[in-house]
Amino acid sequence: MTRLLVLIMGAMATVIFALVVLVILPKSMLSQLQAPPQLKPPSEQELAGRSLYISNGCIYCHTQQVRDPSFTADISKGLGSRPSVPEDYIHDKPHLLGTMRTGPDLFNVGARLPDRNWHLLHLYQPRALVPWSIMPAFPFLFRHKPKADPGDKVLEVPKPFAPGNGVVVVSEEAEALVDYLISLRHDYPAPSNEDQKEVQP
Amino acid sequence: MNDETRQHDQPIQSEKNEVSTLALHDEAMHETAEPFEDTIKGPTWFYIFVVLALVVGAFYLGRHMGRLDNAAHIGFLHDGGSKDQAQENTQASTVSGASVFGSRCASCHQANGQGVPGAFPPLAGAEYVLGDPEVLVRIVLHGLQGEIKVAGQTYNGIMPPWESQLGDEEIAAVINHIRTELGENQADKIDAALVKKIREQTKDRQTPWTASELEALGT
Amino acid sequence: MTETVASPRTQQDSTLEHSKIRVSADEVAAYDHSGRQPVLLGFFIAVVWLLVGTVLGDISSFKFDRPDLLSEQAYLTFGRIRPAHLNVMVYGWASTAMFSISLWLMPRLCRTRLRWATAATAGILIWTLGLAVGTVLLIAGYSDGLEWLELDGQWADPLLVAGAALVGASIWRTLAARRVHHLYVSVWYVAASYPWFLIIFIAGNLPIYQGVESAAVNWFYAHNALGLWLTTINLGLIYYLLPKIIGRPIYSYWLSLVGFWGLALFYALNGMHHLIGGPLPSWMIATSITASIMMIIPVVAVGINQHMTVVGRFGAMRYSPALTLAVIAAMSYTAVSLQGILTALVSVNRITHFTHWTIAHSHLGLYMFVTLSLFGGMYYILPRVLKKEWPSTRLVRAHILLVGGGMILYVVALGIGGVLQGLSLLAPSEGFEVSVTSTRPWLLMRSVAAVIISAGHIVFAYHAYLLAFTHRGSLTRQPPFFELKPVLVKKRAP
Repeated sequence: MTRLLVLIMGAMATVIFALVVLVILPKSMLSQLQAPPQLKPPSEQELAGRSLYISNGCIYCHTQQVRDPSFTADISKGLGSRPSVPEDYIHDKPHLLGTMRTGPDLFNVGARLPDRNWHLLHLYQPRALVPWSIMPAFPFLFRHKPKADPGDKVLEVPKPFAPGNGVVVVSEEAEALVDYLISLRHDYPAPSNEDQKEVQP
Repeated sequence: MNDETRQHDQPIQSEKNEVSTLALHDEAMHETAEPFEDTIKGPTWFYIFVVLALVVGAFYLGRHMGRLDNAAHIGFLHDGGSKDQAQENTQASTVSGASVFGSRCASCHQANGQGVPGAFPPLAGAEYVLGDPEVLVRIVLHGLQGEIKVAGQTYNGIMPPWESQLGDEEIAAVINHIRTELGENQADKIDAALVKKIREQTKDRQTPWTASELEALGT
Repeated sequence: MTETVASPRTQQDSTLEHSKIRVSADEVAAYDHSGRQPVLLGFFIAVVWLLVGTVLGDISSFKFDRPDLLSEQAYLTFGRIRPAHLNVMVYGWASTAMFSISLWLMPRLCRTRLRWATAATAGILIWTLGLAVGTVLLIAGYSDGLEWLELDGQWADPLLVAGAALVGASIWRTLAARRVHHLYVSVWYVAASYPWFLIIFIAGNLPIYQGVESAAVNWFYAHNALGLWLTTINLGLIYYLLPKIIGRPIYSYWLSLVGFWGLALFYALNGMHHLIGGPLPSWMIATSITASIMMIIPVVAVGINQHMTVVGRFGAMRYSPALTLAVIAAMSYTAVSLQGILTALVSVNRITHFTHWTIAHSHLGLYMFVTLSLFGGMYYILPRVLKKEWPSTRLVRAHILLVGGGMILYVVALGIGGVLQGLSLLAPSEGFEVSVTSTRPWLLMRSVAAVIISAGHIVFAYHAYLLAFTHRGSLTRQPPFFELKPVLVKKRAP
């Protein structure tokens, strides 16, 4: 090649072509999606929990997607009753699909583990509940106090993991994160494409 | 390909030059000629390979693209198989109570069935587990919520329903596992027919059971 | 692309006496001198980031073996250290070193001095400031939440854009002032990378995406950051180093063309293969898998081209660490690309998706290819810019053995662990526990590998310090590996 123009125009053409195919076209197509009626928009508390999910990097070990049963075991392992579809993520900003399953998928964790105390204790010390877990503990989402003040929610921690003295108090952040986790349940049926086509005209 | 057989190498006179290169002063070793490209076309097989790759790619895209719309998961289903078929394929696996217990129950009730003091009730030695199997099947199907007394201690939590996730066989297997394998537990085994019967009876139930409801059932 | 090579063949004709075909040493020294300031600054900053990133990577790795290690403080939690490791390595170490390499290559390839060198220096400083701000915010808990795009959109990203744009401006200004007619293949790669990076980085950071679009743009960016930025500049460097050190032309201009345009066309479409089976419109994923398969064309083209350039001269690796590293990096590029194509196939992806295989793959690409090529570049460039030689053969050899050996252990261990993890995730009867416990021994081996690699980095940083800041380097008259008798001497004609 001898001409700069060929280089720059060619290089721009390929990347812009890819941008159109993979970003711009899908964006316009996906903007026609409608939220499934059973999918509630997140509450303020859940959004606060979601931002903690992001800032503490849960995404690096947990996915939030269920793949098709024709080539994975996601559904037979109880991660959900159906593969996830674009409509399920309509309120997500940014997406938290994830790429690693060092820990289990969380797309339906609210249905699988609806108990608040389970999540609180598990966040404080995962190995108190799951001995083989390699999830980091998040003690900084809790406060360690000599004595509980009125209004404090005290977390009961089983023996080897409890601090030597004082009590473990649940912080607002931990509550928000647990609210978010419990809100993760997509057990409604998938909105079918046929329905959508009826709605649109 | 061997050096000697390479046509374009002719002008370089490799052996002579390399020796002379090494014999040169440090300076020369530092700056050899700026690189340039030879004009030979490269092997023919490569260009045949390019065409083949393009054909394979076009064929692959045509086969798996599905439709140009928002539908997910339509491009990579099994050959000729429909979605439902695929689902049945993967669900027809061998049922083992221990593995169902390990993946669904152990995170709260623990692998040994001892529970977590103050948070999750034990299954080993628990009245609910060893008692009337009809009550136990109901708990597994629809879950449990609110205060409950097990082995002299009070617990207050939520157990999720397994109705939609586990089949009759799996529920029977896991119930047999917890009734016979955990701790000292020794109780009669049940079969999938019982689970099926109770599932029928209670199919309208939407919420988890409470301890008082279950007590009312027992009497 | 049907233009023929316009460079006057006679001038390069090797039948001329060796001393005459060389560009005069003074001329080249003047090109090197014109970019001295930004090149040295960039390499210095890159090595600092390399050490920072190494520590972050090691901590992340150890946390898999001892999950309660350093978990008391929020800023030391795995979910913050790991993305910090990625960002520091990609934007701090690799990108900054790549700035220096492109600023050094361009004047030589354009036969003119570097233009707007001050802008390039300012660009590198602004970029570094942006990255430092972004990393501190990330550790403090301010993340944009998208992998590879975590750096804060308000405070860090604009600085990064400005920095890369300034360096790119210097590159393109130099290119516009070139004194050669024909553009050598390295020029295509290096020059195109800057506009590519700016487009994808800005597109990736726009806060206008929601739901699965956000996933699409995330992986569009993340894959192209690798394909149209890290890969391209390093391929440009390897295309320069191989023929330069061996003293032989690139095998085929036509294969260079296929390799470059094939990469530009197909690599840019690859991103969605990170979301196979995910909730994206099926056609997007199929498009990306197809483009991934098509990558076989440029990869084989570049592979043949570089292999045929070196073939028969592999012995020369014994006397040039830069060539050794460039050859290993070139081979790793072929290997990692073929592995990537394989991983994009649905039948393989169902096993390897979501597992440590991905991490092994990305380290094969970002380390065995990108980082080793950057090391090779630094071994070649630093003595020329500093006008001193690397002081110690032993340190060079220790460095190459440690990082090479460590990384082979790393990739193999994590690859095996990843496959075991994936098979267990696919077995319907196995609980999640199996996928964790079966992987742990391999994760431990990865930590061992990480320590070995870290030792290599310390050796390299120390050696670079000796070269740049002490007089040890100036005492050495010959490049360190030249002390060996090259094997080629055996071929002397009787």
